[in-house]
Amino acid sequence: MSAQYDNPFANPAASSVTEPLFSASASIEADDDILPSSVASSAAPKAKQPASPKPSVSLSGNIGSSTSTNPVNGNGAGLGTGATRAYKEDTLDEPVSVTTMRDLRNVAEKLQQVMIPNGRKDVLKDWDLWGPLFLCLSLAIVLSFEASKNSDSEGQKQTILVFTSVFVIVWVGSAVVTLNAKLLGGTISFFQCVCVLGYCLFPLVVAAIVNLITSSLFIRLPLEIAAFGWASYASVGFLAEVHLSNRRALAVYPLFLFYFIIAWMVLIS
Amino acid sequence: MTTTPSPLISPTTSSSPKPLRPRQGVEALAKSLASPNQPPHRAIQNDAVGTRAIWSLEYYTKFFDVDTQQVVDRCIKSLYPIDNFSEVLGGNPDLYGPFWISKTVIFVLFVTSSMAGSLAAKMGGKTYSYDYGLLSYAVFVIYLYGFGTPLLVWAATKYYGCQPSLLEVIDIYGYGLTVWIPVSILCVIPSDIVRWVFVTGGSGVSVYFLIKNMLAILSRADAKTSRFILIALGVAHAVLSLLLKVKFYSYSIKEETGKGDGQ
Repeated sequence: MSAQYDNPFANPAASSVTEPLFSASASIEADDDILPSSVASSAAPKAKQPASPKPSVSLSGNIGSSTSTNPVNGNGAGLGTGATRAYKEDTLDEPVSVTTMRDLRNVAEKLQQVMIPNGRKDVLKDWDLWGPLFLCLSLAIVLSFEASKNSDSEGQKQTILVFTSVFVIVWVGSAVVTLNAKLLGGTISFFQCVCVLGYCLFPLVVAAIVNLITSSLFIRLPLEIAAFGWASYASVGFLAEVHLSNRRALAVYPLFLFYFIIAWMVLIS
Repeated sequence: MTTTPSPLISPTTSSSPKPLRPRQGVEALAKSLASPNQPPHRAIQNDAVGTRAIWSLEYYTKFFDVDTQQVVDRCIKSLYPIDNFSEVLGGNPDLYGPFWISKTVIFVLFVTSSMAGSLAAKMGGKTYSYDYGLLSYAVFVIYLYGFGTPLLVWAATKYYGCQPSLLEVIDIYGYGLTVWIPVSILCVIPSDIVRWVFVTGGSGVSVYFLIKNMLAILSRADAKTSRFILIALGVAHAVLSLLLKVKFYSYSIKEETGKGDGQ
């Protein structure tokens, strides 16, 4: 697309004088570019010589900066779009497999970030809820499977109860923990925090899957403690910039409680 | 307003179409950064004190305007109820304490009761299957006592003209629940006599805390019949203690082998 539509910027005098409509549509098409300001700035010196293309240049700048947060743009780009994501390539007429793979790659990248928490912390600022949903569902399925395996007569009732309570505890819990941080005066986005809390469930999900294989308490207990510590450490690291000076512990304590109750449910299942 | 991410964390969203709500927090933050002697959350809290609609999130930040030290202090003062608790609150009752203490009590009750249950089952040579029903039971009992009772007490004391503050009554009840956290942990010990001692002790401490502070509120009333509220308080508290003891701290080896029920 870029070879065709870059023309108005390369030769602004000719194209915009003869085809003003075309140049306007071209600047709208260029919104998918990752840095609209750089397009505007590179086009600006050329626009100084002729008088006519100035409105088209300013138009491209405005649309480019405003549509970086446009939800329509986000829907076209893929399923798990966060607030700040932008793509270089055209995502409208690509195959579904490519879109799915890119979203899966994003989720995998964030999971990797959770497992090795010393890396780039801005990966999770580009939030999505697909990863948390996937982790929450797998945790609920694993725990309810174990509940159905353990007990026989009232196992079916317990299975449904376990699935429901895991699901409710994960989502309501992360929402309440986030609201608590906001109410204490923290500067944090709601969905970013929910996303971080959801992704940091990953060590606990791994521990739950390992628990399927072994039932020895001597393997389970250290594993649970390690997973709990890992999840808490990762999430506290991600939420380091909440801007709470002397009430940080008040925001962190519910987070520990949240992971502790999930770790406990994994342990006793 | 919660759907739009905070511009401070993701700077590119600051030019969103409706910058009204999120901007207010950012402006407060910018103000506080201009005056460095003030922490940022303080500015947001101060910003929220003004006229805010009751359905907005900012309205509720004034109930969460506490520091870590204050909350720890209030918890300790509720365990050693020597001072008058309304002086400890200092005219700034919070909802953080009642909310998270009641949640902690629920989780600790669930954790310790299943721990005691599995311990008893192991000593009795049985397999233990945990009971999720206990969790919902704990939620029901603790929330009913931690938020339902103060509402009734507040209404009753208002009827007698004591001019109670609802938040203060909720705080007295919420922080009064703190004692059940150590009691629950100690009640893992698989001996019924020891458990009765701990439950009675914890119940005594919290009922003393409750009566002492409610008496301070009730003494503002003219009618002496208002003292009957204290009796109702004591009865309600005794019922709670017995419920907790019977439902959560009653696993024993004998019962486990005898009935196989654990209750």
